[in-house]
Amino acid sequence: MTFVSAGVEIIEALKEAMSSAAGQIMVDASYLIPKDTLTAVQSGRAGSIESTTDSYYVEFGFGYGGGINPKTGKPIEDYIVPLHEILEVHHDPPTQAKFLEEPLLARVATLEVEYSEKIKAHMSATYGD
Amino acid sequence: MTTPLSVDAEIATYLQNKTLPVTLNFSGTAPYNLFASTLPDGPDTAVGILLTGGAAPIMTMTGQAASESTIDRATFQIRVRADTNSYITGNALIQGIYKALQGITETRLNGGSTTLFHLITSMQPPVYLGRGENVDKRQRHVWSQNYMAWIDDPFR
Repeated sequence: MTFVSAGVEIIEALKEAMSSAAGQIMVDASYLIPKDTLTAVQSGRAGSIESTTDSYYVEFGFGYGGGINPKTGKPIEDYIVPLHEILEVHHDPPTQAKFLEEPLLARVATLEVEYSEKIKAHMSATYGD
Repeated sequence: MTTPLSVDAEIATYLQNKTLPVTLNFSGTAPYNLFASTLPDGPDTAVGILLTGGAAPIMTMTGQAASESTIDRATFQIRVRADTNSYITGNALIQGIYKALQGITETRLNGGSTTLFHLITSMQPPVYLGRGENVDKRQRHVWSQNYMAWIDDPFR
């Protein structure tokens, strides 16, 4: 194992961890998002890992796909942000506003440990204990 | 001993004393246009500060007992509403609040306040929510912005 090859493996482990966390946040968010017509929940996406010259990122959230709310005739992109931000509107439990922000912040508390465990597991599988 | 203020009341008191495009009144003589924990239907041009939970506390290694070494991370939403003819005023107000709050570090916001704000940071720039019926039933302009505050919570 060289320092460079270890670095590459660590990056691969982190990419797996990012993708996993994004998917799990979206599972939690899909549970919380209002489902009056299902247009909002069906607009959810968790993308694949993308890269720039010096970083990796994953894009996830709601408002994709151009769905139209059958009750109002409005496209999802016109109302998904107010749906998330207007706190006073009643939604049938367990659905609620802040359906994405809450699971995201809850996940932040454990991400460091999750990433660390993923790196350990990946390195162990690649190079042995 | 001074009774601690909640985070929303701390922020409201602080903004009331800032020079902003609209003079805000939270705790002076009525009528009020700045509210903590709610945004009532009137007046048209108004600001609400709404607590939205937060993230898990951060445990720090200060050598003290665990209960004394935590930093709470509270989140709150600033909602600005402006009447149907006052888009420019409302936009200037949310931008002014953004400038006033973003990046505050190691500050007791209100003089002898018991709450130390280690950091206030916005989660994103102000977002214009529009003026559709799904935003405000009287179709006024509405903006939203969300912040996280790292604080030493005096209630704990």
